[in-house]
Amino acid sequence: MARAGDVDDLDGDDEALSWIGDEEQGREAPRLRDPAAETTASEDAEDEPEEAPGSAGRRAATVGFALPYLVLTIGWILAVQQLTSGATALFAEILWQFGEFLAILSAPFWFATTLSLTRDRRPLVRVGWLALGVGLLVPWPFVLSLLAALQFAGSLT
Amino acid sequence: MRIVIPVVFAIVFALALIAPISDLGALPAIYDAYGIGDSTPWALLVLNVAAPPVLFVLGLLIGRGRPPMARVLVLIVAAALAFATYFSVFSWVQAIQPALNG
Repeated sequence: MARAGDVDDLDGDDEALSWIGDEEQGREAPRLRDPAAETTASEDAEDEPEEAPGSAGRRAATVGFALPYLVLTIGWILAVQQLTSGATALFAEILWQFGEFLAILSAPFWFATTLSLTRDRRPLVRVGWLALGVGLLVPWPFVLSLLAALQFAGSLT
Repeated sequence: MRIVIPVVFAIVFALALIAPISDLGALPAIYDAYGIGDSTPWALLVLNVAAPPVLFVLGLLIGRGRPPMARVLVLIVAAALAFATYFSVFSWVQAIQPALNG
């Protein structure tokens, strides 16, 4: 009948799991790995996850651009409310609605695609693409109507 | 799969071209009819027609060599930008339109 001390007797295991000639082949360490040492090592790795170089900058760029892109999306939602196709044909009206739908999605899709495609690139590349998107996706229908309303309000006062 | 994605998106971008081409054909005549033919915003009308094909080609170039999913994503963004550009330019055309005399 085996005693509990026999199971944990790693020195005995080391001897049992060593073969003649191991030293010559660079196998001086016992072949049975120490589970306690392995657990400690994996815990250390979890405590300090390795970060890719520039990942902090990339994260800052992502967070910094999230709000402008949210504003752009809301801007396009408001912009399409003010657009009318004026078309009488059903196909033209469907096409117009499809275009409005894609215009609303343009900002979140640009943001998501940039994040996806610049995952392994330098932070500056991500910032560049996000900044370009902000410039290109200004919801002019909403901005122009807002300016016209402000001008009208200014002329009243 | 290699050819399917460009073909499907070529149709989407062709749809994005219908309204700009229609505007380019009809708007100058309307401006002429109202006596403001000199104010026809040619640059904006041409920009609207040029945007979808240019964005389609850019989408293909940027997506080249990437996995199919990434190529689809890039082309969806390009198509969305094409429609957004149309609406933006359309609103600019309306904004700078002079008072009608007709």
